[in-house]
Amino acid sequence: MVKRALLLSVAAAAASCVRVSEGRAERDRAVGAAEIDGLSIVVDDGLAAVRALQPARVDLWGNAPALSLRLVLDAARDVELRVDNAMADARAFVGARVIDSTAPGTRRAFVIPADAFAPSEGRFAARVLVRPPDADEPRRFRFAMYADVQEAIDRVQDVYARMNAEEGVSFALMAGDQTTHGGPDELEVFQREMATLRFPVFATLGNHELGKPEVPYHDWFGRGSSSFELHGARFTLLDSASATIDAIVYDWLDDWLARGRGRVHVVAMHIPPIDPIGVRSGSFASRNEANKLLARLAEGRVDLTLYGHVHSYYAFENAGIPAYIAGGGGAIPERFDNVGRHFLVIDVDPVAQTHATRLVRVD
Amino acid sequence: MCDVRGRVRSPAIALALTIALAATTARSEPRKHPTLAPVTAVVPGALVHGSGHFVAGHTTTAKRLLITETIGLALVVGSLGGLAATGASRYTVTPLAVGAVVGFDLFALSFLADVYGTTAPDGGTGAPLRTRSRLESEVGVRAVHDPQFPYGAVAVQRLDLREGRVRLSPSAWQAPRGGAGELSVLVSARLVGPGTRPEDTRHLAEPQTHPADGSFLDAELVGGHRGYLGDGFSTTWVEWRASGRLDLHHVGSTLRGSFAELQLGAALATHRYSIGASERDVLLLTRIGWGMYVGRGLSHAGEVTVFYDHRRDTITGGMLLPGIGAGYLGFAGFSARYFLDRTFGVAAEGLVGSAWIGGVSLVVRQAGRAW
Repeated sequence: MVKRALLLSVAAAAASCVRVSEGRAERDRAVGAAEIDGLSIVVDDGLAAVRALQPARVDLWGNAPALSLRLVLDAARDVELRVDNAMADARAFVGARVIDSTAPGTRRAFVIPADAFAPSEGRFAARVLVRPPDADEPRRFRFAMYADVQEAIDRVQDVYARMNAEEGVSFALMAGDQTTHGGPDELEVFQREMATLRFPVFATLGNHELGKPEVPYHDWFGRGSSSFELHGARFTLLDSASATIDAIVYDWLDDWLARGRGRVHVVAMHIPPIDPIGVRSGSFASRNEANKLLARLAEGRVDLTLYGHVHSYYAFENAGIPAYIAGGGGAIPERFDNVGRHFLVIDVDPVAQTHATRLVRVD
Repeated sequence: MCDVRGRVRSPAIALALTIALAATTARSEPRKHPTLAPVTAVVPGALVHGSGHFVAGHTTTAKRLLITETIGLALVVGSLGGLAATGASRYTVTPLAVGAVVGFDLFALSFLADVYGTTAPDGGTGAPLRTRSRLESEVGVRAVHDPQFPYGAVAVQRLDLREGRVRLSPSAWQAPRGGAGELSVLVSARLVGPGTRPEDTRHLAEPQTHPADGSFLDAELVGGHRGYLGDGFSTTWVEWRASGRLDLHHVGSTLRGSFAELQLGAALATHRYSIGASERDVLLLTRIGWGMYVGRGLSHAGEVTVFYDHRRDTITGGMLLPGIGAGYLGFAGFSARYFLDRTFGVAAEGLVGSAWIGGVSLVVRQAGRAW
């Protein structure tokens, strides 16, 4: 009996030690779904975190340009839907009805009227889309990418001011390390500082968000691994904060790669599968897993990979895919590289299936 | 069940009995406070290395261990501080990473040596295997727990061919599932150690004053190919490294029977993907270890080593840690070899990295020349 318990304990320890990000993948599954008496919500693909739920009000944090969600009420009534970190031109669509935001900028607010809810199995349900009107139209667009702010949060407004000065940026991708330890107070500060941006920031987490045992990141900014489309291009964010990707996420990735075939597909994560400076090993814990992921991305015809973690700028190729590390959010910089704080501006043409990346120096 | 000087039926029992026999060997130089010394080697010895030897009255060894710890700590703090201050700059990362690993080695080594020296019998737990076989073969199986690659079990084979200073060692592993496997060949030249000079046989007549010395320094060249057909990639690499062992009786007589190991080198790898793309990679190879000999003579003898290996490109991968420190470590483990007679032996290893691996092998050697 003791021997069996010992063996089970060792097996459990081994399982937990080789799947350090499994718990976060499980938490990803739960993002976007919530329920209270008389109201429930499910955001498709978990692309928004449910921040607050009241009988007549729903607060979301968006992590994608276009959201599709289902609201179910016990009785038809007006519901105020607040979506923070939304596209600045996002509107709500309920069937043929278009609802304008009552708030400007990226903090959108919509009143979903009672008559938009249709009877459904003894309750009242509405499918609501929150997105720019032209979100599905293939057209050229521009986005920014940055990572690794950490302890430099007090100086991040320099970066944001430079980003705001870039013409035509629709949104930013943030490839992790928003904070130093990932505590609630730090996440709150990061959110507060983001308010000056004129566009939303869609993010995944980095290893510095894992400094607290409870990892509260998902409660603030939603899933670590997710995928969305805009203007015919696909974006996939992967949680590589533990220098690995969980087996659950690999299953999701297969589906996202299939959906991205034939489109421009951008994949971003925090820790890069490989470090262009091999002796440093600022990369996945297993080179074989890194190769496995890169082989999968290459076979899935991914067009561009974006990383953080290394606090400098690198342009290279992995498995033949153009790759950039842009860890210039302000955290302790890599010395002697003459780069300083920086971010990327990336132009995407989904029709021509091309993209162009430009380094923007802040310092 | 067995005669320790004769045949044994179970390797595990033989190993246990050998340790027990060694532990009951009469001590020629009794140490002070034989009960208290091992305790102080842990508390406060975990912080102040050499405490155990100091209580045991071996102050010279105690001082050496404390100095080793201090140097190790200084290297670790200096290297990690340097890495933080330079943001792990590409221009300075190599010496700093090596410094951190070697510093940790010295720190861990001085602690383990203190514990060993206060618990092992006089003369140590054993002596180096006094034979170098011209031909040695190993066949075994490894259980692999890796959620990324469902190997299940892996078959391992190795062949050692020795002639003078030179060793040629092809090895391979194959996974029955996933189309994964590896083939590599090691060529090494012994620069220092057994096999490089006329044999000094004084250790046979005067083991107390002239202990057998298993210390060595090898220059090694390895080439290999690793394929993961099911996952669409393969890796071909070449590595050059220096591997050394120092028997710790050179540090203090109480440490006889234990040894420290260090391996430094670099590898150049080419990774190929099924879509046709490829890329090159440079790896830093740093491996540290501490071990002890078990048993003496040409048979009923072996060794156990615990080690840390900084590389992350093997089947084991690097350790996965929860929290901020993810992705910086290689793998750790133990390896053990024990010869039941002049021909047959067993080997075992346990490795903890991205995968957890454990298994045993049968070792067969041509009865070699004693040294």
